[in-house]
Parts: sequence; structure tokens; C-alpha cells
Amino acid sequence: MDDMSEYKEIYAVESAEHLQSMNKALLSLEKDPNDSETINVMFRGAHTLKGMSATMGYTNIKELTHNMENLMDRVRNNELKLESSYIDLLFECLDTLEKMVENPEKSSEFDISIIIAKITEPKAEKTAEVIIKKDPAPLIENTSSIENTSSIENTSDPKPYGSNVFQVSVTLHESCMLKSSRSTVVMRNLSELGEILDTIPPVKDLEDENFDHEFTVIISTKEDAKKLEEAAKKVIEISNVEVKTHIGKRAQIKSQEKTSVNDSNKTSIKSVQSVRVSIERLDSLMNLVGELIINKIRLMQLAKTYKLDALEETLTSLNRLTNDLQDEIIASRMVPIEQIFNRFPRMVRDLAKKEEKDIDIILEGGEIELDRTVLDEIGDPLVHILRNCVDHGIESPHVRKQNGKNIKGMIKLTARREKNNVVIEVSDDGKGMDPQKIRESAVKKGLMSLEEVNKISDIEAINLSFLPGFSTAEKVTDVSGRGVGMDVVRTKIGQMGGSIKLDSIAGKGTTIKLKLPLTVAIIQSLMIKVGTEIYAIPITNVIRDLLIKKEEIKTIKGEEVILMRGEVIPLVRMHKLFDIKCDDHEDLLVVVVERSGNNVGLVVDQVIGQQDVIIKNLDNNMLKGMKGFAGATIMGDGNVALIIDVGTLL
Amino acid sequence: MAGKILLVDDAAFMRLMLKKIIVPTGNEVLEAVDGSDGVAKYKEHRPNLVLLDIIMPSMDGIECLKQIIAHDRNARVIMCSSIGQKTVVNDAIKIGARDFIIKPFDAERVLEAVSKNM
Repeated sequence: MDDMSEYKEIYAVESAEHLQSMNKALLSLEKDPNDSETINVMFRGAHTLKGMSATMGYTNIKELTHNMENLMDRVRNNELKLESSYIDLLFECLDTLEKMVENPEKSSEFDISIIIAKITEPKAEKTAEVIIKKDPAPLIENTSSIENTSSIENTSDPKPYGSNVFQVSVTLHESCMLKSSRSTVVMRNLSELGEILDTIPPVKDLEDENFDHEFTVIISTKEDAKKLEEAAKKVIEISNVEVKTHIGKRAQIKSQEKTSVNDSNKTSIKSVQSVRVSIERLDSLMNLVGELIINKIRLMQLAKTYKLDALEETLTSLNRLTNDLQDEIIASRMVPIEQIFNRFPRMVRDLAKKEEKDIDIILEGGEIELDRTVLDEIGDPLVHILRNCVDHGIESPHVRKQNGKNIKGMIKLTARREKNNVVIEVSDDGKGMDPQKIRESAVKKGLMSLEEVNKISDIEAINLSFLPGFSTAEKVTDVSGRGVGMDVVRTKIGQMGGSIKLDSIAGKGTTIKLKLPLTVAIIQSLMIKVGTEIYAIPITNVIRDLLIKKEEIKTIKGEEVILMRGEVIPLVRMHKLFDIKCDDHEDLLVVVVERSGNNVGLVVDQVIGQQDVIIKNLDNNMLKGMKGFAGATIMGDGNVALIIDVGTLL
Repeated sequence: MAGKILLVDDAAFMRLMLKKIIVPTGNEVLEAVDGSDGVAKYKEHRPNLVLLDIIMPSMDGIECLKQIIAHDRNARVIMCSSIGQKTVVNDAIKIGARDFIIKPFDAERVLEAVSKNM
């Protein structure tokens, strides 16, 4: 079935969406098993998925969803109470479905007999009923394509118009333009006489002019055939109208089924105009705009150098256009953050259950939008952070009780927009981090000496958990604590040009704050010069820049520091770091950057200014994996500048 | 059956073209130069049929159509559209336009529309 292949992608996307909404529904059913709307959501989800899978020929998925649908139907009809054992079973079903949907071609290899047996078995006396109820009436909303075959029988009931069902075939003139509008006029005229049950091709195709010169309207009416013919012929540019009594419902419509496989919203005539675009295409669009911007900058520099006023004027409008274009493309890549947030309640529930803890998770700001690529990247780090919360953060119920806390632990996940960044905060009301314990652990693991450890502040101590190979978990559990922890998280966030901040109060809880750029492909950067080289520092990391006199530099324990608003800031001389010769200046330019909660001053030669830079990944073998740089960018003059990743640079 | 036909179009050239096509049918032809004029002339003369342009200054065809229909629910209005105005045409049909013809006008089509709707 070659013509099915193009639907596979849509199938994958849509079924994942359905699974997610079912997961969400199930979670709330666990809290309130009687909420009829949520029960319906589950039912509809299973039903739609069944229809989609049957159309695609994925029998196993169809079977399982069919059984889930039956189960939910019994719940819906109050024949079955949704006890927690059923909830667990349904979760199990969803998990199995998720695996099958991931690779639907291989779904037939899954053994689903056991799980199906579990669904049907517990209330054996009901099985008879289940079989009878094999084909529940399709729902009106979101009727999936496979069900459309039966939609006529189900809708052929509306009786204000009497029982004559006609089939009106209309042929338009060869020269007819705006065929869709023409068909709309015909349908409008016909609908004044009765109720339109269906059209061939489907309404959507009619609207999109996806038909030749002929279309058929199936209508239920109390008028006679002649009236219908007259009504249709009243419209101009019609060469022929043929009215027949409608027979053989299934066969005729079935032939149209293939064209309407992905049309899941047939019932709504006006649908939102949208297309699905693969992320690769958006990526390449973004790349092209990136190149365009580079060239634009180059042109602007040329105009400036050669003082070409006329060119500069034109470039101003070009500048506006490329900016708009860039904004549009960025906007089209944005997806609400709830796409990943939504899977966390389920995850936290499962983990908590395993650990025998009682945890509530609160989500806020799910509507905040983030670049698709950023979203993909932060999924894993967030999973890791949340696992830490469940495993190390929240105490077991009896400990919480002893400490006078609410038995139920709480994890709060919030997202909000701050200027050009999105801030994601994960906080828990667990036991927090004990700086002293971390110090001891660092010494024990040989990461620092006892002497060093005692010098650092509590905040610095807490931030030690970002060091590679650090994990305070006394025993390694399945949930977390494999020691690959937080340093991976930090590296990943850093690579995206974001920053991470950790705050913890022993006994009260921990808060992790991720600051992320809206998009990864283009970031705002501060361009600086060290020696002859230009570097870009992501603006998210930059606190401020300042000019200091040489004598303002103080030394603490052999390290150079400066004071900024009473805060001691260690200085890093970039020349030294990059091994570049430098002249001794009286005045020093310092860019203060934030690095995991601490401020560090970078001594540079020159601050050039703020600029949008397009990240090119360093996937070249020589540079790949090099610490300290998040990538490179091409500047307007064609030169390459490295983008500094503050997190790993120092 | 002879009757009154109102042409609403801001372009005199277009009105002239339509007039040349319609006059031989024996119908009386009235003219309006924009949307608001169209509404006024409709109320004054109660034509049997209106040929209504969509894009016009001061009041566009859609607004004009709305006002005519509001005034007379049974008004027979045919929209004059160019290709590429699908959504507007569809809107017009929903509001109550009987049909539409497409520019550049084909005499035969115009006559068909007139005869079917008079």
C-alpha cells in the first residue's frame, strides 16, 4: 500500500498526541475517577486511535485500543467502577501503545494477549456484554476516517426532513473557475431543501478544489428529485445535474476513503488553515535566513566602508525585511512548553510510587513557547532534575511527618518568559542540600582537598554538585544517582547558550533555575575582542561590563579579584586562558558573566557590542568536544568567531 | 420577464461592459458607483437583481451585500469577483449572495446568471 506511506508521519504525530492526552486524562482520573468528561476523553482517545490504526492496518494497536475503548465504555455507562487496579492497567496499556506506536510497522510483533486478557478477565461475568458492545456508536466530534464508512447510517436519522435520501451529482462547466465557491453555492441551495449528509469528495476536498468537475451531494430531504435538480441548476456554470435515490451506502463511500484518511475533522466544515512542516525543513529555512543575515551584515559593512548612501538606504529596508523574516521563522518554530511538561506528571507519579513516596506535581506556564530544538534538548535535563527531586529531594512520608512537614511532597515546575529568555524553575519542598555533606562528599571522592573545601562558601559548595563525577546519593538507585548527573545537565544547558542556577536551603527544599534562549539557532551575543581574535558571549550569561583601574584589583589567596557593589568577583584574564600575549594596560575592561550562580569577571581587550549571531555547530572533528566553546559563528566580514560557553570555559 | 437590474461597480468601464451585455435582454439597467450608493439605490428602486462588485471604495461589496440583505431578506445579489477571491466569495455566499460571476466577464455567463435569477 504505497499510498499509505505519506500518512505514516501524520499517524505518528497524531497518535502521540492522543496518547499524551490520554495519559493526562488518566492521571486526573486517578484523582477523580468519576469525572465524566475525563472518562470521555479517554474513551474518545482510544476510539480515535483505534480508527486510525485500523486504517493503517496496525492490527495489534487496533486490538488493544479496541479493548481499552470497551473498558472505558463500560465505565462511561456506569457498569464498571474505575478502581486503581484498572488505572494501573490502563497506564500499562498506554505504555504498551507508546512502544508500538513508536515503531508501528513492528507493532505486530508485540504480544498483547496478556494485557488484553487482563482487561477482559477481572469481571468475567461481563464479557458477554463486551462482545455485544463491540462497535459503540461513533462520536460526533473527531470522528476518525474509518468510522466515516458508517457515518451515513448513523446520521441518516435526522427526521425533520423526511426519509428520502438522494444523491445529487453535479457536473461543472469545463471552463468553470473558482470551483470550490461554485460547489458552495450548490450546497447552499441544496441545504435549503434538506440536510446534507455527506459529499463525495469530502467537504474539505471541495473547499480545497481537490476535485475534477464533478461532485456528489448526499442529501436527506422531504422534497422530490425534481426540486433538488432545479435548486442545483439555478446556479450558473453547471453543465449537468443528476439526481438519484441514494443506495448502497458503504460501497460507494468506501472508495473515497483513501483520500480522506488524514481527514479527522470532517464534520467541521471550516477548519483551521495549517500545514505540517517537518522540523528539518524549518531548520534549513533557519539556516538560509542565517546565511542571508550574514550577507546582509557584510553588505552593510561594505556600504559603510565605501560611503554608499543610496545603498545604505536600501539596506535599511532590507534589514527590516530580514528581521521580520527571521522573527516569522522563529515564531513558526515555537511550540508550547507543555508538550514536554505534560509527560512529567506521569513520570513523577510512577517514580514516586516506586519509591513509596507521595508527591504532587504542579505545572505552571505550560503555554510559554520555546523553539522546537530547545524543547527537544531540555527534555532530558529536566527529566534528570525531576528524578533528582523525587529521589534525593522529597523525603519519604514518615520522615516528612517526623519533621513536621506535610506528608505529601510537592514539586513545582514553572516556565515564564523573561525578556529574550525562558526561565524554567523546578523547586521541591524536600530536604534540600546540606553544604557540609557535599563538602565531605567532595573530599571523599577526591575532587577537592579538605583545605580547599573549607574555603568555599555554602553556595559554592552546593554548586559542587555540577562537577563531573559527583553524586551525593549514598546508594545508587534505579531512579537517579548514577553519577552522570548534574554536570551533564549543565553542559547541555550551556551548549544551548543557557545558564543554570541552583539554590537550596537544607531542610526546606531545592530550586533549580534554568535560563534558556528562546531559540538556539540565533542568539544574542556580546562581541568581545581578546588580542586580535573576536569572541561572542551569549547575552544570557552577561551581567554587565565595567572599566576598572589596575589598582582596584585586589588579591585574595593569590587570586585576582575585584569588588562590584560589595560583591567579590574573581577575575579571569582571557589572555592567559587563551595563551595570547598582551600589553599591560592601566585600565582594564571587565565583562562580568554569570556561571552557575556565581559571577566571574573576564578581562578582555575590547567590547565591540551586541549582535545576533548564528550558531554553527563545531561538529568538525578537530573542534568537536572542545570545552569552553558552544560553537562558532560567521561574522559580517566573513571571519569566524568562537562562541564562548561560560559554563565549561573556566 | 423584464425587470430592473442594479449594477454596483466603481469602475465605469465595468458598468459599461455589463450594460452592453444586459441591455439587449430588455431589462432596465440602473447604476451605482460604490457600496453606499448601491445600498441607497437598492432601497430607492427595489431592483430584481443586483450585480455587485467586491472591491470598491467607501463601502466594499461585502458590507454592501450585508446591508442590502438586512434591508431585504429576499434580495437577489450576484457577486462580481475576480479569480483568487475565493474566501470573500464564500463569505458572500454565506451572507446570502445567490451566485457569483468571474471577471473578466464572459457574456454568456452573465446572461446565464441573469436569466437564472430573474
